Amino acid sequence: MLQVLISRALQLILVVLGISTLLFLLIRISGDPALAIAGSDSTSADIDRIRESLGLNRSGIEQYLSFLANLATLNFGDSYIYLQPSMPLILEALPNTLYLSFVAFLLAMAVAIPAGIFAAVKRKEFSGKFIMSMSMLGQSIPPFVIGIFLILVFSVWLKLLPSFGNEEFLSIVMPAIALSAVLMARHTRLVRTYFIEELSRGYVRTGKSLGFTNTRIRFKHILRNISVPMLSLIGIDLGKFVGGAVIIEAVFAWPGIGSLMVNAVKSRDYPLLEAGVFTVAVMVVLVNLIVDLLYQFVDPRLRAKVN
Amino acid sequence: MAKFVTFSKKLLGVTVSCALAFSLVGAFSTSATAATTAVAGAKCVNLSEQEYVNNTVLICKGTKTGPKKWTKHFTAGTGGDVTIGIGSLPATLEAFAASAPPRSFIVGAIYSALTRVELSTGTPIIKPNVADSWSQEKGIPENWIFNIIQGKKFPNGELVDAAAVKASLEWVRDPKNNAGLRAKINDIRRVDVVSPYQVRIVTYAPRDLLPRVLGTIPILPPVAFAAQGATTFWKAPIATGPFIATKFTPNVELVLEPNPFSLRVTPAAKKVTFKVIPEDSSRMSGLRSGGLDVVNKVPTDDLAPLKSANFAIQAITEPATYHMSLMAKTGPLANKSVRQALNYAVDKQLLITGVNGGYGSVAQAQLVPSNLTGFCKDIKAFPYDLKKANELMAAAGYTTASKLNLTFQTSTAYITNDVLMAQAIAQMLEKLDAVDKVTVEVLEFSKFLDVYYLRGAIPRKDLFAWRMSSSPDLDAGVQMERYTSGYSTHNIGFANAQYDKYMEDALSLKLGSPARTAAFCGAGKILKDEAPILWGIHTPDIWAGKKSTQRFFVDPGGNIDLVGIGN
Repeated sequence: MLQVLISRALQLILVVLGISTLLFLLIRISGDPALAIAGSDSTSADIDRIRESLGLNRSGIEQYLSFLANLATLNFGDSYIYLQPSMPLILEALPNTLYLSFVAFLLAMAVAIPAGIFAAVKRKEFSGKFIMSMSMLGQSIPPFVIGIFLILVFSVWLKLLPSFGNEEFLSIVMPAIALSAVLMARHTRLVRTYFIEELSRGYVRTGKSLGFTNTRIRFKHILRNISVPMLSLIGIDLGKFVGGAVIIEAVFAWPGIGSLMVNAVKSRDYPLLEAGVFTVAVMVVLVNLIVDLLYQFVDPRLRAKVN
Repeated sequence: MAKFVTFSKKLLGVTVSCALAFSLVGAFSTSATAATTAVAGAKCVNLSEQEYVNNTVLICKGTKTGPKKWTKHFTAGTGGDVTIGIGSLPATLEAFAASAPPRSFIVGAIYSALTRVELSTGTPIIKPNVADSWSQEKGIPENWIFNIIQGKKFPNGELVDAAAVKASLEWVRDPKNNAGLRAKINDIRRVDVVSPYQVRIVTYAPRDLLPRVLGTIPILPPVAFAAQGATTFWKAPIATGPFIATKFTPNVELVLEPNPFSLRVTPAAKKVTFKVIPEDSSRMSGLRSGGLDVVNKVPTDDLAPLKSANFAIQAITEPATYHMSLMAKTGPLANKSVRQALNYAVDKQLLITGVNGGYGSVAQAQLVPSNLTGFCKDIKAFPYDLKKANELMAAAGYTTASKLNLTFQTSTAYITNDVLMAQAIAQMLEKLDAVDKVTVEVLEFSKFLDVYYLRGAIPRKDLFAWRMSSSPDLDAGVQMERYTSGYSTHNIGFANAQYDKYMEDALSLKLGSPARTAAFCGAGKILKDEAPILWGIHTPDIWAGKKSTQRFFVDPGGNIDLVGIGN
């Protein structure tokens, strides 16, 4: 187990270094932040002064070396726009993104697993087909459209839920539904497919012949068997979740790192962008590490292999 | 269990908030009745006028044609809470960065300057603030004496005095501080403390507009500012404006509450909250769902539904001119007649009615709006005249056979309705016999700026949309200087020696003087004749609010009245 952890930690360092370097190059070739900061009515002298104050007049190599040194100490420098250290800004917004992602993920799983099992068991009946149609619909509609639709119905028409911010208890409801919709739909389909595959396996027949109840076979044996491939997909999808959260945060004015990063991109705020992407990369790698560790927990064969 | 307890607490919170909201409604009804009490005093003329007397907001009431009188608005602090949804807000509470919206929402609310520029009537009126009075020294027009309000303190106990004024102005003037407002007071030679409550400000040349300019430079407590340093100070500013910032989360919200140390007035509302909601549709939904009382930057598509849902609309014409720089260096637009033809071919009124929902105004063929010093009454807009445009094109040798292809570079989401306006103008230009196609090239803002400054790989093309903003405390010189041949960033190859001479003369003359305005007129006439610009419109800035929100008013400078607003 320790070996796995060390290997994963090394991978994490490499991945973060790779992503950070790529990001360093990409955002620098995209344009000059001094222009965005100076604004439209500034003179060339103003722009040169800003470039100098930000250290952007140094060579690319010098900037990269200083970037690496800062990366090692997690000091990404002060945000150009907020005039504050970047990392604390990201860490301040991170809990909001994690809260939204976590609730949306729980919601997606809480609906997708039972709905997928139900659709598999009732696959020839109307109810099973209806669930599949709904999941197809959920996958086809972009999350921001779902968000706008929810706002229109529940905020503008019914005035039941707040349409922006995160201050009220019910503020989470619509962003979480909108963010979870695609994941919910996708995993409903996946659970159904895996479940149907497992239903034709020998151990299901054996269980039946031994007189096990359907509930025991479905929830104790089949669910455990499909949890391994499901876990891999969940790991991948959680990474995508942050991308989806950026848009949903914008629609619902949810103060997470998504909206912070959109602003950073618009204003070419390198330090903030680097701190944000670094944090997201670490999160994605950590989620995958947790998923890897969970494999050992749910699959005894893998546990035995490691031991 | 813990979750259940948290949920219960939140539920209790919601219940208590509802109860509080109801009590506020009750309080409002009482104050609304009290507001009808008439106050004797000076006459008011314009219904949008507002005055501060003895810490009370007075507003001008009456009918458009009937008698008007000053009437007490809300008793201070009884105007309930107001939540304003805003597209963007600066990321810091900095005082010296800029003086235009949205920075001015913060600066005007939190800080006090020497004077206060009242724009509600359209014409700037300079009123006392940190300074009680001011005058030019007799016979020395470069010297201004400002008498400072006496007996007032900053919240940290420091006196509001001449030393504070000197320290603040000196800090802004110091180039090493990189203050955005420095350019506005570049012509101040020195600031002398004459007595504890009197300063003398000496300019390099006579400057009549100085009291107006000083209405944009906040005065701060010098000891605290020096001790904390600017960056720390901006996090929790100590100032004497009508509000204090009780909560500020960049990019999320700013909460303002009445400042007990306000120099002149206590706001009507108990709390004003700015919520940053960059997404237009989300902001409009916030208003329609009742979560927001007022929103800014209303897209023109939303105007009709908001009006039919009985929301109040406040539309002002921004002190900014939407125009297109024409590539005078190369290509067909190097010919003056072609540039004039393009000006005749664009129906500016249609840009207002067709694209901007009827809001905005046609720009005359000059770069500043009519209320700015230096505007020339003699220079009129090119009328829409397609026949004349075709004649000019033919005279320049361009006919139907020419099949001209032009490229129009525009920003997106920078200027109000920029892409829509570019498309509309392109269609109008395609009506010219000689023009086959006008391609609209939409550039993301940072790329757009790269093109403007010629810093990227994309060159300037035939037409380049730009928005020239004007500051009410300066004059037309700032805008017109950009078309002198030595100006580094206009980048369109326009050069005219006579224009340069007029501008050189104008900029050396006293600001606000008739001679300076006359020189601007001379230069402006050349600019219109040479037409390196396709003049468009003064863009609108549209706000919407609940009808129940009292004193929802936006002045012509684009600033919402935060002191008077209440629910």
